[in-house]
Amino acid sequence: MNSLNLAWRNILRNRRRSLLTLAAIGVGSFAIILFGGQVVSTIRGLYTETIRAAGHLQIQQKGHLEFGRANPGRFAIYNYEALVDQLRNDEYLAPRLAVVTPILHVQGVAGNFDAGMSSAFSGQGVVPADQKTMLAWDGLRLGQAPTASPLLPDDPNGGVIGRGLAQLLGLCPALALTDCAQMPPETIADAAPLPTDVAALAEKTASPTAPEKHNGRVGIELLAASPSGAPNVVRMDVLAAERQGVRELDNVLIGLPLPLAQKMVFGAATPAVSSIVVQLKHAGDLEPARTRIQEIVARNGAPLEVLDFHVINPTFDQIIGMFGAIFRFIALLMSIVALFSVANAVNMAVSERVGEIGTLRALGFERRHIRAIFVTEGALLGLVGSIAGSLAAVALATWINRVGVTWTPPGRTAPVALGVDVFGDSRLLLLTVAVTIGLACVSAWLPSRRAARMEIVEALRHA
Amino acid sequence: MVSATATPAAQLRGIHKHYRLGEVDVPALCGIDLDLPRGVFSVIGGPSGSGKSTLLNLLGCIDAPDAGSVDVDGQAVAALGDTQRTRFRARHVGFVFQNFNLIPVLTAIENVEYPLRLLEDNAPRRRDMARSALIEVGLEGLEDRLPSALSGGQRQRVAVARALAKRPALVLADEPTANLDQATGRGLIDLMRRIQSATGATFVFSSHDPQLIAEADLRVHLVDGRVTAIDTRGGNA
Repeated sequence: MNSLNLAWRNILRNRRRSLLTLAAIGVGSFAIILFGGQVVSTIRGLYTETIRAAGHLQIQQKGHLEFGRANPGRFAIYNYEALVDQLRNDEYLAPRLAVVTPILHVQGVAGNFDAGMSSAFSGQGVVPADQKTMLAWDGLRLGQAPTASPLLPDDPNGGVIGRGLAQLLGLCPALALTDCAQMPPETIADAAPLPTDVAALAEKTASPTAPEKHNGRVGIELLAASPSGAPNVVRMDVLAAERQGVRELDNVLIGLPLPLAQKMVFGAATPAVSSIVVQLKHAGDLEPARTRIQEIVARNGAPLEVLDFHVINPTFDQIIGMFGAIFRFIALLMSIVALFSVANAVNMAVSERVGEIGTLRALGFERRHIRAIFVTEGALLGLVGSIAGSLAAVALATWINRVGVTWTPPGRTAPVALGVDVFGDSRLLLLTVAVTIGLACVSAWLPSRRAARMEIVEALRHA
Repeated sequence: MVSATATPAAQLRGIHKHYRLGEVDVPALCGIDLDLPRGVFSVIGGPSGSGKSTLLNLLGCIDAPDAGSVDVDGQAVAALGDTQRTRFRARHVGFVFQNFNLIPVLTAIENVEYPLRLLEDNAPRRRDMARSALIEVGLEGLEDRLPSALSGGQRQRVAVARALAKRPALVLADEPTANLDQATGRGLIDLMRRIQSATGATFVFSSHDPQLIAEADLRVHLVDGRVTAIDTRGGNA
């Protein structure tokens, strides 16, 4: 008969109370693990999405992040092809690289001038083949299907626009988009009626006209300023209009092949890029890869800096911070419930066993032994409760993952599978059980101290 | 018989003990001087409220006097701190309580074995000591029964085995037959008498039970916290 055995028997003395305590601890652990698993799953999904979109590292001219959008020429990398080759062929980096690709940020005005409609856009010129590889990144082995990219390697003029931008440019009918609002006709209150022939002419000219099609494809004009300030216009064939998760992005986003973007910004001048994106095979290589790239960049002599995705895309850390805060809050609430449940159970046990405490003290058990008896009971309640809660959470998580429940996370337009990855972070299960046991010990400490400090003679009167 | 030559098993000098009941001081023991010789079967008798249990508590080192000194087995108890006194108790003093005070979730043998953990690290040896003690009190075959599955007499025998398993110098029993019927009480007295003779331990009881009082080598009579008479078998002390 060891201490745990004795503690377990004492716990079973009042089964109903112990069951309620175990249920409270179990529910707490269950909630923490289940929500934690969902957070882990969401973060891993978000990480994958972020790395697919922006890579792990980006090489940029110093100041590009702050001022590059307004000064594409000044903060551009001109000899980027050499640098890309250098990175791809580096002995240390090569086996660790998934993709090294240049991108060019552009902004300007997109127009469906046939319809007399235009809107500001913000776009990114990419190498379609590289982008396709990037969008297939699954370094965390989530089994996430590659994100679709409508850009085609052999289509130098084909681009993609946001669904909102298509709407703003009146492209919905031409692109056969459903669920796409049409601009209502402008009405002038209290205006005198037009003569019939003038009204017919006005109606004809006011109706949005479908853009002129080239080779059966819908096209728009993109206008951007060159580094010298001169306007450049290119025509882009719209391959698709895709819904973005954020309305502001949906209304401005354009993705187009890099050469087309370069033509728009630099015209006939030497083409350049905004960044060189580096996507690694494994997230764990980020720091050594950054160090190596910094060495290579420093040798080049250009004022370039190497930024990681946390800097490029601060939303990533903000979302993680938000989930972390919610998780901590839930964990705190559940911990308080567990804390009070165990404290109450042990307190009741001490009150019911005063005579027994006096007997044990009379038989030679020291105060520390008495404390240990009740703390062990508390710890055992924590252990059993948290393991029961953990098993229930694992079972439900397995079921949820198997059934394929979906939800639409922030910044997404389409629902994604509600993953609950309880094994994704090994600390989640271990820490939940360990912290629950620790909390149970802390909860049991005060009542056990009360038990240990009892006067023996007084306690024996209750026997 | 009382041996006058050996060092006393317990010696009390000038013992005073008061209890406070609300605003009132209630004297429990008033100037007790007492020597309890080794290896005797002693009874502390007296009416209710005479201080028998208080005296037993002081001898068992679970209470401290307001004044005076208590020496048990040659050790001045007042000189010991709480932990030392507890350890001293674990090794030198055995208790048999009126209500048996067995741990209800432990079997008979576990009840005997549990306090032995304080003295003996070797688990098999501990188990053997507990089994021997249960055999000694005639409970062979009942080792694995919980207290709830034992009769009152059997429970008290388990309590006796628990007190004796560690071979203490001093065994204290507070009204050990009070909750037993006459026949069972008689059997328990005979058992303790036999064990006391065999082990040479000093047994001190508090009791009203005439059977037990008649069996004692030394009878200490208390009235209102004072020793009014000390009788030995065959004459006055």
